[in-house]
Amino acid sequence: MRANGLFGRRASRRRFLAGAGAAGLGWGGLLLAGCGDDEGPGRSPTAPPGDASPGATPTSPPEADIPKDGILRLRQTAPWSSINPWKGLDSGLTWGFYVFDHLFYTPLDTLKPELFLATSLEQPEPTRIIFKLGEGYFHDKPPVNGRRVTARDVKASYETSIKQPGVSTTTFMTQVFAGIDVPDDETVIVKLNAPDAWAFTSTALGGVITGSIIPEEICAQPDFMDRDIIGSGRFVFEGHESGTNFRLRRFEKWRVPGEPWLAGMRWFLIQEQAQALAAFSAQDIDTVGLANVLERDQLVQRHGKDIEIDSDLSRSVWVILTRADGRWADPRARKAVNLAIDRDQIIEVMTFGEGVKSGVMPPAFASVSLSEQELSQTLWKFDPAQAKQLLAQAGFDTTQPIEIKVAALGDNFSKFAQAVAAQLEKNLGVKTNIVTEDFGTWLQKSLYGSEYKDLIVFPTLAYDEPTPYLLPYQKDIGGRPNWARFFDDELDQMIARARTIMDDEQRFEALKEVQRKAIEKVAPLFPVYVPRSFAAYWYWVKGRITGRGSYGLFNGRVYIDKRR
Amino acid sequence: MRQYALRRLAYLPLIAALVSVITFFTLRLPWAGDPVTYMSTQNTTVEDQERLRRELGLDKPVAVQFGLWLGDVLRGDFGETFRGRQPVLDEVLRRFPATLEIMVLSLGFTVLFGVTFGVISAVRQDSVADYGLRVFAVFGQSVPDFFLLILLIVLPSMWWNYSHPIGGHVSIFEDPVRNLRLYVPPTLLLAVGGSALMMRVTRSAMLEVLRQDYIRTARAKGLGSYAVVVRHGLRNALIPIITLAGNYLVALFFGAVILEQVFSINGLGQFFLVSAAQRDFPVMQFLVLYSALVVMGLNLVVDLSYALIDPRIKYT
Repeated sequence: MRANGLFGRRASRRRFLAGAGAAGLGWGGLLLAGCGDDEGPGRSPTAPPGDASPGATPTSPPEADIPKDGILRLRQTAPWSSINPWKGLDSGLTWGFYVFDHLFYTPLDTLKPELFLATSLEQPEPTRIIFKLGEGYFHDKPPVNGRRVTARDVKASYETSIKQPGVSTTTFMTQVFAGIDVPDDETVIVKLNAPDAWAFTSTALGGVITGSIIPEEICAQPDFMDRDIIGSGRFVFEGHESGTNFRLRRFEKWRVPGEPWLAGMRWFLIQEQAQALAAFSAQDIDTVGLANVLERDQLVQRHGKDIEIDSDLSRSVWVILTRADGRWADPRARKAVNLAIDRDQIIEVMTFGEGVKSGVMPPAFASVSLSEQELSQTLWKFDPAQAKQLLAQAGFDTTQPIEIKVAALGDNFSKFAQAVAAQLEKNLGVKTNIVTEDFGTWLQKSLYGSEYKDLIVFPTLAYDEPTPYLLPYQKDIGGRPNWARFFDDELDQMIARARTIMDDEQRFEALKEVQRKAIEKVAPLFPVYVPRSFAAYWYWVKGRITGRGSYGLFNGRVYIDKRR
Repeated sequence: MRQYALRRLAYLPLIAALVSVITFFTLRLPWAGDPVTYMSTQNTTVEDQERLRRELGLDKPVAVQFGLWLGDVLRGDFGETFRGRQPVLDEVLRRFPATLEIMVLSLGFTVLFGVTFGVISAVRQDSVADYGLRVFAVFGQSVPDFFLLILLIVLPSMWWNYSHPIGGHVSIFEDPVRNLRLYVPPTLLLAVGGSALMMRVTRSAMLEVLRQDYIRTARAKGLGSYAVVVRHGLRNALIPIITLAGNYLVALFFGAVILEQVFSINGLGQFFLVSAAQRDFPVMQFLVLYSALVVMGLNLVVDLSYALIDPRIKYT
């Protein structure tokens, strides 16, 4: 049995090697849409220029006036060990956004699918979804040689990708997804084992990697993609140098006439943040992700109106996970930990005040998040006196230190662990002990294998849909028992029931009820905050879409125009 | 001397074999880290892991794995990388020019500045120049390489919005200007620590030589300063300098990792670092073997060069 991918294969080793919270290429790509998911923003003395409101779409001049000869130059933060999209998260996401086409994608602001290659989507019954394909062609390279995309390619792509050990598939893809029928070249019929209201999200049929349309000839020999990438997306893969410095060029037969407005994209390996800032200032790259608000202010001071800063709230939530067994079996002990956490202070320490408190759902998912007012009275409540009382009532042995496990993945990880430790020591009067582990051990053994004694702290990945954030509250996390050993039938049933409610409003309300119940039962996962991320652009990078999550990366209307 | 060299060369395969055995078996100790674990995602099943282990040949007994690996190596096949499934040798050869250039330039600058400053410092002992150069030596040995390299990025950017070329290695034959812009400034800085040490060694060796009777004789004969200092003095002070240069070259191979990381040059140092982090055994085995051979080869060259520099040294 497979598991859902709260983590999947993180970009973490890349980050470890990059030595900073800077994003990897896939994440570097995310900066294009200003929907970064990285930790590390800082204080903002003034409102950031170009601050994006959710769902912001650009207004462009008439298409005839738009120069289409620009090459967008981006940063790559670490070399890839493979360019094969089925062997790495970075390659899977990057080629998914730029080189492969998809049937559709669901932006996080509306949570409703927007059609790409598919020209129609019907769901005649809850377990059958019919897509009609539009006209699309593969890139003109052997063995595909520019032939038309057919329904068989779509079938092969979905069915093969989920069998790859390097692809983070989800419970939906392994348990709900039953297969694809292709009655003709233009019709794709997806069969489901059970109704699922989240079938169109990015962890289901709308996955960037699992939904990438790859020629069936290549699906039959996946190792082909160790050498070359052939898709039907808006850019053609041109080449690379040992997993670095990728080059893409415009696909002239892209299904949207006239697009993309960029002639190509180039990535440059730049591992050090200082070097990335220098390259940006020297105009060698067009955009750079900023590690904190100090960098943002410095760049604004240096370059003034020549640059624009996009900012967005991350969907990567920093969380504290206690155990739910042993001395943590008593909910009062767990609640004491949550009451002892001063979220405002942690936000100040971690982000210079440029973050916001998060509920079970990050605030980016406005339609399913609980209100700030409600959370202030429940999850976010800070009351050290009550915390100490509860701990005493639970008979918690305070002579034993609380162990906090954290991955060795850079400054922010250890800083967060230290901030949590300091607050527990101060507000609960207990000793703490921080244990740092290399990422592989931490992820596979400590988190997934539940080999932690008291607490484990981490940031979740950033998702374009709400359901992955509920995974830690379920009894079964994709074939593994709950990491915290938290087994609650009622919550499980509520989450499962929500999946079957096809009406959006009712389903969103059901999700809110799940969150209320998780808080009421003192489920052991305590979301703390989400940071605000910043990216700087030279003024000539135009047509960016912000606030719609990864959807903005499918935007073919980014262009370079040095005219003021 | 030929016999000596042949005898030393005969040791090479023996030591290489010993290093290979130690590396191979050490990497497979339980606490060294399992590559399959590092390649696993949350949804990788036990069956997936077993399949992966079979594909990578890690399911066989370690002795069998070693036998297979050794057989391949003897045929010139160093295997494929675990992650990218690319031939290890190809991946190494692709990255080799970048690392070689870093090593050659750094060593060149180290010797150039270290020896020159050392000689000046010795010849002008207790002068302002001597004091100045000794301060440089203390500074050079105290400041970490990575700090200087970061300053090299930050300061020109702040002052002139300058950035060194991005995009990694470019051959000197393809684009000499870009190549030199990329490599000269950082290798100059990388050489600071080494040249400081070399300056001190050169200075003390030269001071000792310059007090010898034959130097006094040379001066008494009316030889010019250049001939006295360089031909008679420096030549006799070369042995510790060459020993140090040999050791420094070995250290440089690993020092290049920092430079490659900071300046994003995808060379052998990076490759080794990434492979070690991912427990890519074939790469680690190759690079340890390669390092051992390079170290032994360099030591041999250094030892043989003693006899060329000093006729009194004879190898039998």
